[in-house]
Amino acid sequence: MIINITLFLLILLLSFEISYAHVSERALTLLLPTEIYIPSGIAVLVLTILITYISPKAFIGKLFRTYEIIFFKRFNFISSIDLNSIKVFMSLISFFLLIILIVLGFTGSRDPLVNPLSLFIWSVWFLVMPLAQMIFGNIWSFLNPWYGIGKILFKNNFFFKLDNNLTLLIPSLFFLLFSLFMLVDIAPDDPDRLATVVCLYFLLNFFCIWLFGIEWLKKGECFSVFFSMLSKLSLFWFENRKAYFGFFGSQLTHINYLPPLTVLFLAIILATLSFDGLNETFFWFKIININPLEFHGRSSVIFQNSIGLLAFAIFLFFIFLLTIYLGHKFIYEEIEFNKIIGINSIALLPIAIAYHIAHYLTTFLVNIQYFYKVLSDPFNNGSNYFGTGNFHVTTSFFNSIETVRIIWLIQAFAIVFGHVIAVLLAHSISEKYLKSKSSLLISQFPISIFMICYTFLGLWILSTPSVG
Amino acid sequence: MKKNSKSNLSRRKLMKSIAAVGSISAMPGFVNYSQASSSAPIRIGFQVHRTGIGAAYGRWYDRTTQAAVKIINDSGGINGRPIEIISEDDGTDPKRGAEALEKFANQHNCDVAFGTLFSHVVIGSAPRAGELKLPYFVVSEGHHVASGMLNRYTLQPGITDVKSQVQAMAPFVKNNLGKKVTMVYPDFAFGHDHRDYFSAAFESQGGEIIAKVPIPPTESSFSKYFPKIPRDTEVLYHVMVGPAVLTFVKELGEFYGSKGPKLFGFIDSVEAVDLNTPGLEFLDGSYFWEGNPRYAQDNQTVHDQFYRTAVGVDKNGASVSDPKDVSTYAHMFGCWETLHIIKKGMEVSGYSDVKDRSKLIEAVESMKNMPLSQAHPQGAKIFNGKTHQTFGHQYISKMTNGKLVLAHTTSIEDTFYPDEVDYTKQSF
Repeated sequence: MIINITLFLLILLLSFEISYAHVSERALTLLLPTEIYIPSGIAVLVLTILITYISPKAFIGKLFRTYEIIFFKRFNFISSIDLNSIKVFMSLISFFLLIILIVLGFTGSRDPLVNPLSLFIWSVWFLVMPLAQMIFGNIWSFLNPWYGIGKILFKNNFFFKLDNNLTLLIPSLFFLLFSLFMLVDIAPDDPDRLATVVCLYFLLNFFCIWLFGIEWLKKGECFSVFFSMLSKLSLFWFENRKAYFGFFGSQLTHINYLPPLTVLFLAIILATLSFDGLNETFFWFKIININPLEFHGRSSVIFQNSIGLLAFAIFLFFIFLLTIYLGHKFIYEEIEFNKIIGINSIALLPIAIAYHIAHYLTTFLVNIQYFYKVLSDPFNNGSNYFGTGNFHVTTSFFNSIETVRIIWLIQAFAIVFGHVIAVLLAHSISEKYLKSKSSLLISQFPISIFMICYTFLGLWILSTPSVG
Repeated sequence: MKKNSKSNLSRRKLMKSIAAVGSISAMPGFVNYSQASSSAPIRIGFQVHRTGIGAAYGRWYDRTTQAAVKIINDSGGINGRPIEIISEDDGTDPKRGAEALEKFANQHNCDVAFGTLFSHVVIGSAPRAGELKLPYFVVSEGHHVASGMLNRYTLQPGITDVKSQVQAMAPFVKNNLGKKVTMVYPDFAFGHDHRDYFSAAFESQGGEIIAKVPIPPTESSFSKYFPKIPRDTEVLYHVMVGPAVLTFVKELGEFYGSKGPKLFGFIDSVEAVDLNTPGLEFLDGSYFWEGNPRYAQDNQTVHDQFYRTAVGVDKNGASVSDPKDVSTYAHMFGCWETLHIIKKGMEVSGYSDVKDRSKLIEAVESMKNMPLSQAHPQGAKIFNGKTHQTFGHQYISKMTNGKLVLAHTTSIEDTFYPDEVDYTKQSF
């Protein structure tokens, strides 16, 4: 056995002709004048920060006004009981679709770009759902696969009650496990493996709903918690049978407190979405001392990427705490740190979504084509329901500098715009509990520095040499 | 009418048939063989880079494979049996590559395994193929097969290896471009192989390597290395790879303007890239090795024409459905040819099921001449059964007005080197 392993390692050491031959879109990105684009993006953010500084108090708050959409009054006949029935009904549809997807995960094509489960989970649900929440509000509360079946089977019963403050530890832990699966596991795309994980995750949460009641979805299930937070920043939302419209974060004008552990949860999310990008840069490969041109795949970096992700999450957690702490230490108003840290951390959400868009845009552009193909033949039996059987997936937009430039600028716009929203949001949040303009300015200074650095990081990740 | 036919069956008979079919079909892997064995598909496990750094190649390897399978199946399959492809993503990762082979052998009941490009995946997978006694036909270009590093179950009959490609360039470079060569290469195993194979072959031709300029793998700016290139360099041999390769070309152009040495490189540097990208004008007039000419040439064979049409590639080497989607034309023919070799091997050996795997390998080992044909559109080949490696023509093209025009075709003999192993002496 030892001889076999030694022989195998020896063979690997002797291996030559590592055909790192393909020229990725990053090769064309390196030809773009990013040395001009990056300072321009940062300049936009700095300008936004300056505007928030020099504008009169409450000026920024006006941006976050809410407007009722009168048209939706026509739908007033839908009572709250009906609304619940719709929720149950839609959730049941999701539940049945999930079962079909899991079955296809086990029995369908072994190719992750042909299997509906792999494509749906990684290229549709995970990529699209956060954006949908941020635009249309909490549609996940209708679409999650647990609510309907949980309501029908367990009504409103529960055995244990969840603590409001501490429960954020649970979704934090689960999101961390999810991140490790997504970023570190050797084959998260593999249909068999993914079907097993999705199945176990569904059953585990189903069991928790039985124990803790349907409240589990609001406090324990990490995606419901994440998506629910995102929906608090949405452009459109529903409340008391009325529809509203407002700039990202307008709903927060009515929310003054979030549990302090929100910062832990959001630090893990932001760390995940930032590290998935950083871990592909040559810079990271230098740190872990691996030749990026000889990269031997995910199995060779399991330990390094696990540690990297955890360290990055811890780093972000403390740096954000420090940012908020320093911002409030030198003001003359009395502030209870525990009461404001949770609500302040919401400013991390638009940054997380910005990184999400920037990093996964290219994957989405390719994989959505595979999904389009799969819709025509979901059971991989040669059927051609939508006539897409002969459709060929293309990646030509990575082959020419014009399209690579457009893609890069969209990604960069997402990063900059996400940070602009974050700056405005952080300002408006503090505006609610700080009395004087001078306190407000001092409180925003450290977080402004943080935002500028994080914008730079995002734009740098987009433009530096990377693997894949 | 249906009703009548139903009534002719007794209920007991019907239940018995259902039970029999049900019990057989319920056994894993038995579904397809529940039919007559003569019509059961030949199951080929396709180890493919679907994710990871090789995904761009995987997409075109998949497209070529599907096209070849369609052609073979439409013309009667293998011994009258259709091919069924079972794809497993190897993640461009050796560990997953080995796992894919295990699944082919133990879960999917595949007859043989086939595919994959990146050398480290082949090297990580081949030992498992040997243990599983699963014929493993690779399309990777690596010298690892012919070097003797692998085993009797691993063969590379459909694509030539880097060692033969590199050494075959030497006579052309010396006779047509210049006798004084400077080599610029990434400073790790891939670049070192080019350095060693080419310099040995070039010096044996009477040429001279006047400088070797290694570049650190993580380098992204190259101007500081160009002064190391001697002024009397006649030919610059470059094999840069990775995301900074286009930056390298651009900076080289800025450094030399129109007065530089002649350039010779491998198409790998710009595989699947639109050659009309701004910044790459400097490459006009330079020479590239191509495994298979990307652009349809004036003397295009009917076989290349047929192959292009079947895969859906236009005369510029791009997808017919998107003229900007440039294929990995220099490499992907290997999938097409390998599948045709598997077909021929199975037909010659009278392959019926997994117990005939060794007969299949012996049949392929006994192959020698593979003439230019529909099965071999890239060109004629000579297979060496002892080293499990094929040898074939190499192409050198000159970039002319943003297109690659064939300048020279090597002989097959130019690619030969002494055998380094005899796998036929290994037992099954």
